[in-house]
Amino acid sequence: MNIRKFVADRYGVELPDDIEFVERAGKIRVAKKGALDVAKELGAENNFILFARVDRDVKLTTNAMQIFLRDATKNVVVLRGGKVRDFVSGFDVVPDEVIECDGGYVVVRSDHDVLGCGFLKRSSDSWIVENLIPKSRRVRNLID
Amino acid sequence: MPKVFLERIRKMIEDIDKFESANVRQAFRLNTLKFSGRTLERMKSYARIESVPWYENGFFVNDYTRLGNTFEHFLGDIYVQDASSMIPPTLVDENVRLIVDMCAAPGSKATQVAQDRASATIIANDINIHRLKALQSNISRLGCLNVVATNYDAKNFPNVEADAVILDAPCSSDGMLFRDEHFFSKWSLKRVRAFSRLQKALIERAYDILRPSGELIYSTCTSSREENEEVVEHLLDARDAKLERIDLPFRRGLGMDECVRVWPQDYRTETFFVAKIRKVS
Repeated sequence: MNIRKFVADRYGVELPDDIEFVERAGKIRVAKKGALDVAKELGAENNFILFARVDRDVKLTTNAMQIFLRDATKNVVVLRGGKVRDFVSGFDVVPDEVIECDGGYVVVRSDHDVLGCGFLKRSSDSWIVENLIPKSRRVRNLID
Repeated sequence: MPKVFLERIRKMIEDIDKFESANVRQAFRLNTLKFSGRTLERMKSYARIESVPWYENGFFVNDYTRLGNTFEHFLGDIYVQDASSMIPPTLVDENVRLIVDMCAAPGSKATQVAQDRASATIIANDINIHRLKALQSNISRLGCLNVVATNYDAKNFPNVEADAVILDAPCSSDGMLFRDEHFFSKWSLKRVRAFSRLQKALIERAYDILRPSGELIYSTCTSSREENEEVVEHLLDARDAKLERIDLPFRRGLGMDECVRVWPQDYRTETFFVAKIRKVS
């Protein structure tokens, strides 16, 4: 699939030219140009950063969103105050702001930082963001 | 500390009292691939921090803080790393294209060199599949797009003609003794000698995968001469290698002025040894 076009259409972000993608078994990985040639020689082309999973839908990973989608303009939700902590801890949250969203996989951010990937859906009369931060990345006892 | 261990240290340094009472500090590295202008300000709100003299993106933390539980760690803006282990990547030449970190997990040096030599490709290798997962997780969290993770036994690493090799060798790790209260339950002279044998095999392979005039940075977090200067001597005997002087303000190697040793009482870091070797064309 054309992942660059998908990201531009869904999130309003043009991905940089100096990266390339490897798609295999429903997973798209990303690397700097040049690194892939080295990886092929070593049989390690599956060992790059996971960018997205492709199934019926395309789900970008939390890592990919943190790296590339700081300037996303569409399908973004914003969390503030204690909701940032709740999301980082692994809880589903009600977003404070929803920017050009039609549901589905969204960029979850605070006012300043991309937190990761969430799944936006309707819950009775409001939106709710289902938490898709990987368990290994969640922080239960965030200090501040 | 066991008597036999202290006797060995006493033969290496005069300020043994200061060594025994060293109070090692935590440190972190700013990840320049991701951090924002606010990261350092926020870190200052958790603890008193202080610049690491030998690395511009390194910071000591002078109060105990659960750095892994900070928002900045979650974002991948920082990496928790002992300040001594920030030395090897700073010694890699500027314009290298291919760097191999032979025993890379969990990735402190590989990810540091990835941010500081952003136009290079870094092969981050580790033999242990579980440790490799931790390495891959750190590569992803920090956003190191120029790092390839591999899973070879470093003794049999494929020929690659690297411009630089970082060999932070597995070691008896007595540099960790101030962080691990159970450290001496694992430490023995037999273990030191076993690591020395392994390191000698590893340093030969590390040297052999360099291109002519490439550079090898050898380091450990142990004080034992068998795992440090003796390993470098072994390589100098076995190959036509050239030892280069490291111009950093640390104590010198034991009978080997070109290398440096960092002792816990000097900067409140772990014990560390570093040597830089050039492959003769």
